[in-house]
Amino acid sequence: MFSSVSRVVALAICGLALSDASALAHCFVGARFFPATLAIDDPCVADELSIPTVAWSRTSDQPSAQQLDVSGEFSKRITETFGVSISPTWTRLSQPGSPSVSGFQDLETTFKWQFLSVPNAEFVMSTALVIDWGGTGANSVGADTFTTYTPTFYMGKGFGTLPDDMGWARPFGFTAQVGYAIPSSSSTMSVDDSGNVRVTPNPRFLTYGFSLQYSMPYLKSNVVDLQLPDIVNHLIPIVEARLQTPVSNSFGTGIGTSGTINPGVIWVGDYFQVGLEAMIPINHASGSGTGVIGQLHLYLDDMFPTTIGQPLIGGVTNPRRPMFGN
Amino acid sequence: MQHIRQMIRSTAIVVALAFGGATAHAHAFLDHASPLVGSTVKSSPNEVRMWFTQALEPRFSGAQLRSSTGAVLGNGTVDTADPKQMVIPTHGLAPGRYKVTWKVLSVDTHRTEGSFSFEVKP
Repeated sequence: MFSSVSRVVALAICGLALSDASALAHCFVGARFFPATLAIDDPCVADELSIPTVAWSRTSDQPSAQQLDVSGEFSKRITETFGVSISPTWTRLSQPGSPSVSGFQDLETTFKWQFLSVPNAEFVMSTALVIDWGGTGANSVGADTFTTYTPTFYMGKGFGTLPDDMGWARPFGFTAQVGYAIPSSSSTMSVDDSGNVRVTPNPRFLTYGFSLQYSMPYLKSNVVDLQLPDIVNHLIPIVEARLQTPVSNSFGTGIGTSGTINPGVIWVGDYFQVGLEAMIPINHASGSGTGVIGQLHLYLDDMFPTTIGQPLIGGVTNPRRPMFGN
Repeated sequence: MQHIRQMIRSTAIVVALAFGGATAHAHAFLDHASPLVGSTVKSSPNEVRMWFTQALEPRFSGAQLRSSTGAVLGNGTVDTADPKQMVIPTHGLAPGRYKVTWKVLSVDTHRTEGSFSFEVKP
């Protein structure tokens, strides 16, 4: 017992020691910049505002309904390596022959700790507790009445450490996340129109996803300047996947693995980025036909570096030493 | 629809504040360099010059030029005439491959770093 506790404490101390106390605000790790991804979360803590993220898709119902999600996310650093975010989502469902319904999904909050950053290896890890607050959304759009807690791990790795003769591959970057969604209630009780009581189990899910990205800014500034048009030098082609698989308490529900694969592109500027991706369901249970998601994402640390763009505790990064002995 | 309009209005306000503010700065990225990143040149350049997207803090920004064996051949400093530029003087580089490593601090204290190579051919 004590040995496992001491191992965890040692790991935490090691992570704190290795973490870069002068974090680089949005997701920079060494020469690598990981953009904010649309389907999954990036592996860093930052001062950011995603507003709006707009997603359109068709549900797996028969006949399928059109689903429009409009969401925002405000992320705020408390310290250089710990931050919180809050994310409301508004949904409209339009089914043929029925009046459309709309309302908010359950409010989502995230408490994230970026515990490891290794600049030379372009490697970063963080962990978070994601909470979907049950009862804060509208039943009409499928918001749960129970709260869900999802401990989640995130990682990011740039391929810039590859040798020079593999220069074409060095702009690749990879991020991933894996979480375990635990509902606060094992089942939900409801009463149908006939007055019958129905008990529906609330499964626990493994939630996971990844992104594979190719950074044209990295190619230009670290590998080879091909003197491409400026707009191309700001692009990051990307493929994302976001999936979930029930792992317990799902017997008899017929729920299986679901999710989407999202190919797309992100344009990265100095103060904001714009992303656009297709959402391709991996199976019929994940939706009918290809959807689309777009996002405007603002870098608050660059826009407001001396006010809301810096951590609440710790303030502006204080350089500790001159570079290269200059 | 009212929620969407409110979101669009909020976005417009934030963007207007961001780009109307005189104090906004960003991370300093390497825009381009001479010799070009990853290029091959036919003779030794007199200097390695780098252009960044933001002004740099001279005291906390630097660069190094190294040979293929790792020997340090020169250190870079921020150009006093243009704080967006950094220069490494060079002295007759022999044919070979060279690596430039830079770490800079933009004037709003954001750090960035990177490296690139170029080759001198006879």
